[in-house]
Amino acid sequence: MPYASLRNAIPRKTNKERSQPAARKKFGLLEKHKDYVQRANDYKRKSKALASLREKAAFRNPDEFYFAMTKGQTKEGVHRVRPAEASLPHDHIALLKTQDMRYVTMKRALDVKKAEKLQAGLHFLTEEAANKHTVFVDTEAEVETFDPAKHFGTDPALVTRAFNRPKLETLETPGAVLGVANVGELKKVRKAREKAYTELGERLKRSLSFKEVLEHMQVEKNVMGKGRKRKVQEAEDGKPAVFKWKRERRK
Amino acid sequence: MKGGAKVIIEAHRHEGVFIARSKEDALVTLNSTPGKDVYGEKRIQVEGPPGPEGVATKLEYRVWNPFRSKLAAAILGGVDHIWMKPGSKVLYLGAASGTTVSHVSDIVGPAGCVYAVEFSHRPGRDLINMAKLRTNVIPIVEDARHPLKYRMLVGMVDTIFADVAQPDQARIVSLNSHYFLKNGGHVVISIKASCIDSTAAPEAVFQKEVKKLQEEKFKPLEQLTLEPYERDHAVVVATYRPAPKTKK
Ligand SMILES: C[S@@+](CC[C@H](N)C(=O)[O-])C[C@H]1O[C@@H](n2cnc3c(N)ncnc32)[C@H](O)[C@@H]1O
Repeated sequence: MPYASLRNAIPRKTNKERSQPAARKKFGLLEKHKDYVQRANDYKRKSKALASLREKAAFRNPDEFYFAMTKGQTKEGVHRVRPAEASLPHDHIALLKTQDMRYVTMKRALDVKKAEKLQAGLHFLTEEAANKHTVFVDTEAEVETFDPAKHFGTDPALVTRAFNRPKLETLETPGAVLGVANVGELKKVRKAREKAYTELGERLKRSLSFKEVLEHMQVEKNVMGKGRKRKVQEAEDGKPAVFKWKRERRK
Repeated sequence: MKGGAKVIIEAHRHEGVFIARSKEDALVTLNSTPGKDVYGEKRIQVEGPPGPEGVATKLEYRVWNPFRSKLAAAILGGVDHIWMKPGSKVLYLGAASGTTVSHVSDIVGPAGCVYAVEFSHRPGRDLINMAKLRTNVIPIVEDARHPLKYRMLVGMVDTIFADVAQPDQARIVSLNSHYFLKNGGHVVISIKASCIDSTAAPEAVFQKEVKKLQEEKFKPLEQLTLEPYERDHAVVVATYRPAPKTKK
């Protein structure tokens, strides 16, 4: 367009669209032709659909039957052709299940890793020993007179403290215990340690339950797979059911 | 541990071993190469007692995980004697990558010596790398069934520690004792029941192993299982050719 810029230089009157008169404001925006076309198309589409349905109903075969009809049902006023849960195809569900498994595996790995890290520094130093300690002696008489405190050369009060039974001479050396802090600090440190032990216990417990969940998921996945199978053992106390597959000859 | 966290170090019954109590609750050894870890283990720094000039020394300890080391598990299980202390000479059979060996090296210190025998090459490589920094470790990548192959490298030792996890472990130990263990020296053997006989009850397996040792001129001193750190494992301590009793 020649001299377009000149044309733009002259201020022009802006045409304002006519709006809904104030008196008719309650009817909303004033309809324009564009709006009318949209409304008309919508109306035509709907009336066509209705007409087609009416025609179908008029020509309906009263003896018409499909097997899907036996599965269909009306629930809360809505007719469903098939139960809702079967809406996803089989292999799609199988895929979702493997994704669930991967997620649980990942979560479990996190817990196991964290627990391992905590356990590296938490050695369960408790008074009661969980193991069995046998001391061999030469004669029956020595069995009778066996005195653990004397045998270990420690204070009788420390005999049950399997993780460290300091020798009497060690107890007397000055540097036997290093870095004693004040009571308040001791308490704080002990609290932190107890918290760490609790976390370790919880992580170990959770990783075990994740393992159980994974076992269930694996069985579920196997069951969804190919082959004829039968259940040989019901699921019980956290263990999944056991299935046996029919052996199939592979060429 | 940074920022001078509060730690209490308690001397252990076995010289060179300590218990650290802080946020952790751990068995530790005094690190002979401060500032360096061997296998990614945690290190704990503590202000030591003031030296002669009144300046406090920094001490560094390495955490010794009993869930990964049978010897550590035995120590926490209350073994009476590990027969390793500063200055000891130890023959370690089945060293693997040298995780436990590094702690034994801390215990025996610069005056002692650890001969670490490992048969596989892959862990053997880690073992050799570890020994580069710790001069009291002598790595030997050989089969412990053929002690003649490394007889030129190993002198007489005070103690043999064995954790080879082989069914013929007792034979391997007696063979090595024959060549390298002084009379009246000691063996500390870790037994994994399922490695010797996976069908028998663990208790019976341990008993049988002790019997085998007795037949080879060892006198058993003590035996302990390694719960809660390991299942169906035991450590047996015995004396080799003890001098006949004279006193008592
Ligand atoms: C249970 S692992 C030892 C772990 C190690 N003691 C630790 O606590 O870190 C057993 C090791 O013994 C080694 N081994 C097995 N048979 C052996 C043999 N005949 N001679 C030398 N080493 C052997 C294996 O290669 C393996 O690394």
